[in-house]
Amino acid sequence: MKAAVLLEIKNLIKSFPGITALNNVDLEIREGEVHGVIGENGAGKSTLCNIITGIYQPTKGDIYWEGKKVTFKSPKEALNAGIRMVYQERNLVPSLTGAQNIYLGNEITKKGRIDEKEIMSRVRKLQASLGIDVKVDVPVSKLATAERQLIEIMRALSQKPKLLILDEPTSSIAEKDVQVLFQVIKKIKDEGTSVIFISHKMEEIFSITDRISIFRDGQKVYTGDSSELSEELVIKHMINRDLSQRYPTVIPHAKGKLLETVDLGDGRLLHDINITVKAGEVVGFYGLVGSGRTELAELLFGLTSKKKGAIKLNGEELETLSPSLAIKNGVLLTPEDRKEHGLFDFFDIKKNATIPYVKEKLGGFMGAIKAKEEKTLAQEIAEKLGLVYKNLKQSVTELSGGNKQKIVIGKWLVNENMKLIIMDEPTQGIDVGTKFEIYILIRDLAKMGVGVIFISSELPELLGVCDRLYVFKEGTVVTDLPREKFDREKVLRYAL
Amino acid sequence: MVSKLVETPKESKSARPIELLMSYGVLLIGILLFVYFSARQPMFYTSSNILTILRQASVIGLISLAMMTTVIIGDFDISVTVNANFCAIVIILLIMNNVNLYLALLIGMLCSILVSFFNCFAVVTIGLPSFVATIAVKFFLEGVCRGLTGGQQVYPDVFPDGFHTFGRGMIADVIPVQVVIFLVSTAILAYLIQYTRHGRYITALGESPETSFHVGINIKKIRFIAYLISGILIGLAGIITASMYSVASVGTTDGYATPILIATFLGASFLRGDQLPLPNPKGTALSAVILAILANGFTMLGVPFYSKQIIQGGVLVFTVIAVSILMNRRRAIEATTNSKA
Repeated sequence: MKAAVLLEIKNLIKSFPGITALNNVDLEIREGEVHGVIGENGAGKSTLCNIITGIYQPTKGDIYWEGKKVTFKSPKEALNAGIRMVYQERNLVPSLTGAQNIYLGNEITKKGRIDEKEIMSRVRKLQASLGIDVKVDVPVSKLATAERQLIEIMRALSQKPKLLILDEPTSSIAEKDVQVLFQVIKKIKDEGTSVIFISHKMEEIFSITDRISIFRDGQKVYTGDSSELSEELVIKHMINRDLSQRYPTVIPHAKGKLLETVDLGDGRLLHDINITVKAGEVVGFYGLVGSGRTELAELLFGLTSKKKGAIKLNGEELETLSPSLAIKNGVLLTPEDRKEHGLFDFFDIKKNATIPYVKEKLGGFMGAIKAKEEKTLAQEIAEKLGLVYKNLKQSVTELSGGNKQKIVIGKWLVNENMKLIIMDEPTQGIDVGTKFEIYILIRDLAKMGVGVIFISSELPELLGVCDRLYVFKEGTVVTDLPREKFDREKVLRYAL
Repeated sequence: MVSKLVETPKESKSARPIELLMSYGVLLIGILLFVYFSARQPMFYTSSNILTILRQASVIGLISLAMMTTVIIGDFDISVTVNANFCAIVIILLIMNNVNLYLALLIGMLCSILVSFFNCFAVVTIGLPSFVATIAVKFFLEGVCRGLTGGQQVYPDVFPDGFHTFGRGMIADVIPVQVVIFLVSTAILAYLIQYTRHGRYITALGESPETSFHVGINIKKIRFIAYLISGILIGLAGIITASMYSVASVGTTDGYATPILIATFLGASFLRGDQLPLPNPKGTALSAVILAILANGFTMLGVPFYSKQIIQGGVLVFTVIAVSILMNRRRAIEATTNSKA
């Protein structure tokens, strides 16, 4: 017995100047199904969603909603039809509370005035029915990334959508709490809501979805029941080649002690931190959200200041640190929030990639930037990273998430002075194929003699790529595991 | 339950001293200045002087509120001062041509609204940055004003009944009409922004245009509403100016330009606690009053005429720097405490 079809897309083509983002895509979403969508960077997933939600219009092709042919000419039209989406990057108004953000655009009014009480009462009911425990009465600017995402999910669900699209929903939620989201998804599925679940995480896709559609290079190449698909098959369709190895071979390159912290504390969350990183070593940081990994990274890079203890680089103690001092000392950080902290929206690829080198390598007469050298350097970096782009003058905002991340990381790679690089969630929201490329990059860095601190919430990748692992809990390090002792359950026990 | 989702930092996020200072600081400064001037110069603390202060604050306040409205949505309308003068000139000229008083006032306000709409059109449809578009409009309007008045001070021989109410009249013999208009406008604007849907969308648009787009807010419509409000406030200011000065002249409102700039931003931290400063009606209105107190006080103390400009300039620089520092601090704090780990 086949369920009714909610959304049907036929022969969809979407072109932009110079690029065909979607090439003859067929897709069918049934009522009450959780439909997984997976594909590499640039495969067309975001473009597809932008069309379904009314941000773009198709160049050619038809969309049928509940059996009727439609064109959504604006987000409002898609919203009215009952389609809601939670994006990869946050969409919230910082000074409004969680409840106000949840009802943004759909405020309940009484005699022309917004009825905050009624809104709050409905939000509380929604919270209770979904089992989500998040502060909804404070401005969202005060909430952590994971909490903000929950607010957005609640916003999407507050209007009882017929179709909910989730774009990398678990990218900023810790592994343990993915289950809560899944419970929510199961619940709304039982109520007849359809879900499009876009993710790169195989485990999740297989555990929550009914069917999976695989995209590659602007086309949908396969749709099948999740129960009949296997990870290898999915990867094969995604990248059209066999990926027998998920992680590169780990060859130890550790040499002398590079970084050492002694009883380090920041007077807030972090305390009694004693870690070491050797040159040529890849050290992982794992822990729950809020356990102190990113705080320590920012402390080591000089974004915040220490209150107690010492940081030693190559035996020398560093008194005060600032990001520019850190960089001078060869310590680099690639931030977690690549949208806000990693890239310059208004600069093109070329400028973004070469910006760390403007002074040293590209400085010409009176500080003018040497254009030819800039272009060569950018090409070199782009090639090293396997960047997928149209041309160097393209705006970085047009790139897919994975490619953006490549630039965020990649721009530092040509820095000969680099001694220690701290990567905060470098593979967040990136597909399997690109992830592998980044793992190779990380091991290559180690081979070059650079020390790498690899912060991640995906335990499998840490276990696959690192030489050693520090587990964080409540602001300090609770255990230090060498590769021989890597054990998934053990780590989880320490972290929780 | 997601109780273990985020281990909240041990320290509570209560407002730090500097934020409290900025939050109520504007009010404190006002009170301090008032007390200071009263102590130095007894004439300051007379009811007639206080009324003068409030009168001066009213026009500046109304135009500041107009500019503030465009700043909230993320634009910047620098033509507001000249627009108000333009309205005043139109009114006087119409009266000189024996147009009915209320019709003249209405047409004057419509002119201001039209200019405001044109600014909006330039931003929305042509796509110019608001600062650039409104500077161009400002120059254009100055030229128009010059043309209309011939560079002279123009005034009618006879004023219709009721003309002087707005600028010089009193309600219940106690409060000047313009002050009432100013205060009521502030209250209405504050209410609109905080408690109505469109007001909320104005805030949302300014803080996060992307979010507004994704939740289906009609951004063009909200922009027009903001510029409409701005135009109405400018029209009111123009009416009061015409009524106060009784002459149409180029440059009547020029002296207000700096205080208006200051007031728009100085009030941004008012009552915001430890949040990001954001221009708001009450803060802007209060700042306008404080600036009027400052200007009046200096005159009372016989301070040299150029000092006023220096002081105002200093206050403007201080405000901009202070607000910037606060916003950066706030962003840095949020960035680290809100990161995943």
